[in-house]
Amino acid sequence: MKTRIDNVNENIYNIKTETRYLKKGIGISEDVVKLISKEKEEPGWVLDIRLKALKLFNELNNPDWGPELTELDINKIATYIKPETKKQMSWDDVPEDIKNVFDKLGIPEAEKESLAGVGAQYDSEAVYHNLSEKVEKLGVIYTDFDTAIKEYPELVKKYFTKAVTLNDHKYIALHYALFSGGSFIYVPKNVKLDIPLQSYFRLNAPGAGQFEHTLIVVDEGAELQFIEGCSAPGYNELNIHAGCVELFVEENAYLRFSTIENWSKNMLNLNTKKCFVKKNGKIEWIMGSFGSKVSMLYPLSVLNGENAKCEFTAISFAGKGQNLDTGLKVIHNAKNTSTVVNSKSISKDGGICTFRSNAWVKKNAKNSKLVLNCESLMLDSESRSDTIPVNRLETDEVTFSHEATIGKISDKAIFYLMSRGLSEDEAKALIVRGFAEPISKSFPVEYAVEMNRLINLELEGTIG
Amino acid sequence: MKKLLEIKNIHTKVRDLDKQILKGLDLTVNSGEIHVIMGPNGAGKSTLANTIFNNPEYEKTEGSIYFDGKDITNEKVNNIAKSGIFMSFQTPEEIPGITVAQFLKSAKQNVSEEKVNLYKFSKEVEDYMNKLSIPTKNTTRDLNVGFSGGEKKKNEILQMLVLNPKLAILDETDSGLDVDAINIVSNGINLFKNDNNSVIIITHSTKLLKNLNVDYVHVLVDGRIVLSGDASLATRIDKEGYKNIIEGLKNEN
Amino acid sequence: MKYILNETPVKTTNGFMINNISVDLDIPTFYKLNIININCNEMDKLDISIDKVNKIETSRIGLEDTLDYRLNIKVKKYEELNDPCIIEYHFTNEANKLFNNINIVSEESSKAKFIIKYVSETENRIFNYLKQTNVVNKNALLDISIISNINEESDNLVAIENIVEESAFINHNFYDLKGKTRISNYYTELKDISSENSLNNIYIGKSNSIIDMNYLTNLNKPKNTTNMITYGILKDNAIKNYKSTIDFKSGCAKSNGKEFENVLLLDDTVVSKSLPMLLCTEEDVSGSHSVSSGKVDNNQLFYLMSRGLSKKEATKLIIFSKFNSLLNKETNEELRNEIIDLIEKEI
Repeated sequence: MKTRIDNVNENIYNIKTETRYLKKGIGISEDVVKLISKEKEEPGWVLDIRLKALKLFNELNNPDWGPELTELDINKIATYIKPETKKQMSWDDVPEDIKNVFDKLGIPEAEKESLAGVGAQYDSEAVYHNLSEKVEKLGVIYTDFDTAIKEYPELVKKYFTKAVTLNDHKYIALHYALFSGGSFIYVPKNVKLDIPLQSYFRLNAPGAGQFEHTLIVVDEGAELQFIEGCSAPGYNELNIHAGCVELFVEENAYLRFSTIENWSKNMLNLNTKKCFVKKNGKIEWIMGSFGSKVSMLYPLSVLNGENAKCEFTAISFAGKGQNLDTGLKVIHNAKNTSTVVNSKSISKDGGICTFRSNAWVKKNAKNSKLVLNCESLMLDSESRSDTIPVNRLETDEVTFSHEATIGKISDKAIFYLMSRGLSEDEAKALIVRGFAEPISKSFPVEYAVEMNRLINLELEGTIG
Repeated sequence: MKKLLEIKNIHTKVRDLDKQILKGLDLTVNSGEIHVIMGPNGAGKSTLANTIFNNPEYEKTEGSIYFDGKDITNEKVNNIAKSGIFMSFQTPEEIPGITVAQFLKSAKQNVSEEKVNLYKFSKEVEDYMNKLSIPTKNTTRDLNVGFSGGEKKKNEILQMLVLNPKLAILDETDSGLDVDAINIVSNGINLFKNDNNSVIIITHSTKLLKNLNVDYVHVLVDGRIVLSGDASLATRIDKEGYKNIIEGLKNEN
Repeated sequence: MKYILNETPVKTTNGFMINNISVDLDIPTFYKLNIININCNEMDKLDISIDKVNKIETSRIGLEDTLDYRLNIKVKKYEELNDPCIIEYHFTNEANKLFNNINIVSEESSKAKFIIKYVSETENRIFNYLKQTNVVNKNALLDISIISNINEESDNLVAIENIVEESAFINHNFYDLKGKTRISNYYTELKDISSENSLNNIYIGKSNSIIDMNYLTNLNKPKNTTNMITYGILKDNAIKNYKSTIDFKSGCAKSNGKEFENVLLLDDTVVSKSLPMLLCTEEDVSGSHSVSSGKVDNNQLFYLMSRGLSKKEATKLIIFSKFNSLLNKETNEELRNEIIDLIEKEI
């Protein structure tokens, strides 16, 4: 490992910065909800949603399946923390300490080189949002969510809470009560963006929560690639992330939604993502999950129009103390719809990876096609790897297959590589990278590099 | 002449089957020599290659192996590779997700223990590939994945040339190859061979040997070398078969 | 009465209602004893006893009731049965409820095959609950075929529990051909080195039948092997839940596990659910699951019909092309032919 793999400085994710905050809300109560709403100078209809969600949060129970969540005491969490800065359009105006963090994560540099627009969130609020002039001229809207509510109320009203409803589960109710920050994107009809937009979410404060809301509408015939990055420095206190992503892929539209998630290992990541896809539309999910203590994340695609497609490509890597319960849900609700799933997981050092899926083919989804593949790699016997897929078919005109395999690195492959001079650790690392390769190559080049870096970082504990 | 490999009274069993395969085998290879190991099926030919390489599936119960004056009997396989021995596998492993180019660079860096000059290195690899009639675009394919039998074998010879070991052990590299491919392999061996390195060819046929300057031929039967001779022994085996030669030996005794 | 039965070993999202099954069962009050026939040519190799027990018995299906009988069979040490031992239960209008337990112990290095069948002289609704527990000791081999085809109106519950010791092997062939509510639970504990189990399961679901399968094998020791293979067809308004779990416990190095389900959907009014779980806490194992489904392949159908077969005949042939891999595993030829006949009648 030492010779082969570039020396990684884990610290880039672990920068801790003393930031001064203007406002703080602790726990969840009507007061906190009203404080957030007031700080944001929101219209009344938004506060109504928050209060309704608050009520639901108190009523709903924790799920009776999946990872244990009882450790979370929401009343100890800093649920709203507003850094001492406004949203800026230029990195030069972002306060030095915050800019430093994003510099080290390589965000401004990536913006210059390969992105059409960037949004950056620091704790509860957006600190930077910018869209290249060229793209803006095409009528693309890319802004933080607070601004969207103020400037595009009709668009927001039309779509907000329409994909993910308030009562889906307890932590989405929590999200709607406390949501703050996030991105709003609208790509007008027939506008095809060939370079991606990226939002980066950084949770800096200890014992805090992040509840950003991302809403993307890709209108008829339009195309968009969106990248979401998240990270946080490690603390001993529990942090929570209960974000929400609502996606609308209209007729003939295309959206590729990539996530590289590297939350610190004290994070409860209870994220909710949902996408509606209309006729001939296509959603592509690409997910790399490396961080967090506990993750529960199952993006749902609802294929509502004929020929709608869903492609889901994911890798998760659970190390010591991590319980990554991830997967997907898909509902086939129209003719000729298709789903392709490729999921891989790696467990080591006592880490737990669970793949959980729900695939539902409704009666009217004639001639639909689903191919689901999962592969799990176990690097030692302290770890755990579970595959829990549920499938429900209500029509006979469906081609459906689900396959999963579980196993370790082949001894023969290790011996072969070692016979060419590689050490055992290097051989293992090479095979693990080879295992992840089909997924990492789905990411844009810069992010594939980042992903490999994360894989190497994760491997260093046991291997090398 | 420098003594390169010295195998003394080696006994080996297959761990999983708990079966003794090599039963006191001796072999000395000097630098500059080509040795051929022949023998009927099940005599222990491949076990010999795996024994030298200390494959964990095999267990040495007695004896020792020296290479370049160093005891490598219980050395780890990657250190054996680093010390300058190469083994071509009968069935090379398929490793998805790693390209041939990535793998060659990684192996070269390990064996030579220095940073490889990428430009020079890829030129060198390209050159060897041309000589072995391997399309250069093959470097972007995953290691051995979906390769035909012949492609896998040629890929092994390519690795030998690139890694440039002191001793190359070729385990049944000719099996399953057509005449053209066998010629390419033997050209590859000649390209590799010089006065300072050595080759051990493990085979059950003499097809590969025609264009090579073979110094010694050894007949391996039931875990021991029962007969050694010069290149003419291979011709004799071709004509008479193992059975007659073994019978002949018994009669002499 | 409503019962919640067949809980899966690990819970998942509730939306698909697959963690358990809620069914209406009308369990008749006990009226008359059923007749049991035991046919075996080599009784001296077995020890057979029947208990009448009145205590509450539970199984992993989760239904509690009193047993009628417990049939205890011991296959003696080193003994091998040349012919299968056939256990047959009879139902009549009066004997319409059966709570039975067949408890087989295979002693060291024994070898035996059992066939469990039901004969029904009535078309009335019947309630049958078979609890089948087996202990297979070192080097023993136990092969059991269960044919469940009482009648269309019956409720049929089968709970199988196995303990398999060192180098022992247990096989179940389970033919689930008829009945309204059919709940089966299969659970095997591979307890020692080289223990092995296999389950070959064929189901046919039609009209309004509900089939709920919940299978589990725990692999505990090195070189354990499990194979759970299911083929089925569904038509009309049949509902099927296939839930199968392989649990690689820590310590089961070099073990292999495979679970497989293939279902042929013949109507668009059926509901087919599946949950094939793989749980793993051991590095050095190889596990796979695969579930697939679809309708009859039109190209195959066309090809066969072009050779003069009617659509019905061609469909039948395609169905058997799926079932044959399992039917070929039925070692008893007579039984195999009987099953083929029964399946033909059903489709």
